[in-house]
Amino acid sequence: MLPSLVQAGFELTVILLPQPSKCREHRLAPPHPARDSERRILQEPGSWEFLRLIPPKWNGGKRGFRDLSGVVTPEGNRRKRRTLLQFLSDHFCDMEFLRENVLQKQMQKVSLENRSFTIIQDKYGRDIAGACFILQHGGSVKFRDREWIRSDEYRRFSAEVLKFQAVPVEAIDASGCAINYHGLDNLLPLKKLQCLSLQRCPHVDDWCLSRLYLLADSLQELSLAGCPQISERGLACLHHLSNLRRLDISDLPGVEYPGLTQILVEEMLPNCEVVGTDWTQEGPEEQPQDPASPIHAKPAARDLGDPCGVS
Amino acid sequence: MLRRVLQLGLGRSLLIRGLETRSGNSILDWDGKVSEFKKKIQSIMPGEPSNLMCDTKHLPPEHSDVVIVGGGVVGLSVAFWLKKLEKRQGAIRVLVVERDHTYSKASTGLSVGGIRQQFSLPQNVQLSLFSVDFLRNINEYLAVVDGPPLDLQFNPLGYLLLASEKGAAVLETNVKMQRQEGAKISLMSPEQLQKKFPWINTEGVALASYGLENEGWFDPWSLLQGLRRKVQSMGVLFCEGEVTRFITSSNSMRNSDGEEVNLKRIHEVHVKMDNSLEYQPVECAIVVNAAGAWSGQLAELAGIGKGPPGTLEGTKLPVEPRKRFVYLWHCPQGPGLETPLVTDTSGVYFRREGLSNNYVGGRSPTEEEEPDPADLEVDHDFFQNKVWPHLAQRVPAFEALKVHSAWAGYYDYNTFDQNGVVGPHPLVVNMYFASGFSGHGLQHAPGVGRAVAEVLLGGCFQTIDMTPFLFSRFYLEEKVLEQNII
Repeated sequence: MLPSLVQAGFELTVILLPQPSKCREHRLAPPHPARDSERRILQEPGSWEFLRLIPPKWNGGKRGFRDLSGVVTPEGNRRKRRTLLQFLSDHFCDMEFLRENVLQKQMQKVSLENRSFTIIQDKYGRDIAGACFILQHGGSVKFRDREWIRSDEYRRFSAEVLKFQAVPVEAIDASGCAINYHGLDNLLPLKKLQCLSLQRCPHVDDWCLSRLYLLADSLQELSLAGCPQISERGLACLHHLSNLRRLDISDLPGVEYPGLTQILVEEMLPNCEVVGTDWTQEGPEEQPQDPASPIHAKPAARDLGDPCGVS
Repeated sequence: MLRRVLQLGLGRSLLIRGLETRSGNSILDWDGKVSEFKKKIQSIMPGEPSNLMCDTKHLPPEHSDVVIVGGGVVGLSVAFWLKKLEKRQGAIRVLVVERDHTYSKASTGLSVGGIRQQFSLPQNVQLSLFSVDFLRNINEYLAVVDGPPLDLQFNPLGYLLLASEKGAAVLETNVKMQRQEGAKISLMSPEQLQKKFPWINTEGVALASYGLENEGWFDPWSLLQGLRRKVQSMGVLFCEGEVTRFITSSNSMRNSDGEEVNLKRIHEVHVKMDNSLEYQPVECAIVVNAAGAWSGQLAELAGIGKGPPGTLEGTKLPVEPRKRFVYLWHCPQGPGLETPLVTDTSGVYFRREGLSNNYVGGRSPTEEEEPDPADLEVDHDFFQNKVWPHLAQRVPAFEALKVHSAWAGYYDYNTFDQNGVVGPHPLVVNMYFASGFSGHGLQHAPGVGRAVAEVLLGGCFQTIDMTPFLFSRFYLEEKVLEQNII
């Protein structure tokens, strides 16, 4: 097995023994340049870029049914861009273990933040528990006939929330909150919720969208703009939301063909106004841009999509 | 002084040799010789494989605790859970033997990739629920340092099972049981069905069950690659070879009734390399049969079924390969983005593929129409005669469609009761089965892998009770029928 860094450290001359052939699976195609921005979104604040603790997003979605290109990758592909930590973990099992631990801790952190507020739920009811959960994450809540309640920058909020016991929650703004699949447990019992904004939430993905059917009776406005992990497959399960009047699906980096997806979603939800990228400007394939023409300054289809829409 | 003499002496002899090389090129070949020499020295150094005599990189190791025959999704899942549930890191040495590393005939890569909880057996529903949980948290389970996160391309649109008058009562009881287990299934009448999916022709449909959550389809190839990557990083060894022989020993014992029972134990597995007669005997403690469509053949190699019929020795593993066709067609006016995987009363199923109105589907043939499983050639007439008419009847828009491509794959079909075989064999004490899933192996792979690892390491099933799936039911003639086979 791999030698230990501790043992090697005690030797006067450190001989780095080569890694016994462990047949590491080689890294797949290098990350797509357009996806770098979502890597920045996915990175936790304060993590060190050079440590490469957050792996890059994989654009493995473009393969066919039986594409075998991922099976064998030439050695040369793997040798590029090795950092010091990767080099050390290749050769010492302590470093490998440490890095695996750090990775696990980061994933656990998100799930810890998404625990349910069972005590508040039992005492004050589900609406209050849901409101406290959102406020704890830095979002804002609006009870019926009341003003918006926000938490301050230290995620504290006043205890007047606990007084609204019989008042249902009408709107939730969870923009940028670290809510994940389990965290939605706190929002789904809010049966009178009319307006939900999940803009730029880094952990909201297709699985979360497949749970939103529970809010179908009341939900009228939904915003998913800027969520990096949502794709057209998650958008397809919004067909349960028959009362939806306004849906915002602009700026979704996970959706490959925003124009076509918007058309299909509009067909799926005939009573709903779907706000997305302005699809009249795009074609199905990249048309060769005339460099002299000043109008199309930006190539249309595959990028992150202009958030305000090209007018 | 002595050193200088030696140097002179050596130098002269080298020079003489160099001038007298047979090939004619003298010291120009020196660089080649030096690099060869360096390679030889490097191979003697500790840590490098020793290639002095012969190259053994491609051969499996001589000893391994567990040998898993079959490197598809079920075999890799067993390997993953064995390494995950072992008590101490590095306690168990696992070897996965797969004879085709391109997976050209393996059922995993050729599968349509659906996952559903709509089964008639509670254990199957529990397995599916666990597997969907596994798939949802796949980046926690299969995370590899420096590896990119896995994208399974899961499509959460659910399954829609249609039932005629005959099957409506059974469907309702099944749905009740599934809901008790925790699946989110809704029952729909024909009117509700017509309202929700206007492109369906509800003639002949009495009841429909629709999965609201945790059902859908995904890319099996990325699951396979993700498992491979993770399992390699956990230290499981892979070998490209075929198992040709088991070396077993027999032990005769008396059971409580006084009858003599012959217990067998596998000691060695002979793994033959591809395109050669070379084989390596691997000494092992446990063999896991995850060979999919070929598990019946593998069981025969171990002597299972060689005995007078009607006895436990004479009970074969009733798993055989059955060929199934899948067709990809394009229909411009077909059902929209919200289409679930629809299973018709006639057995025809289809689902959407991608954004441009392509559909994937097929039908299980009846016993009389079973195609010959010798190869994977596609029968296009089967689509024309047996699939298309039912498709067009259920979805009128499918009257105008164009088939773009088709492929065939194997079901590891359990001819006894179409459910998997999991657990040890009663007589060959160290062979464990994990096959025979008859078309739902992919969606149960994570659960089955965990069950096999639990019974291997702990002696009994701990999380999901898979005792109805043991081999002994074939001898005791206790059928555990699964009615919802697609």
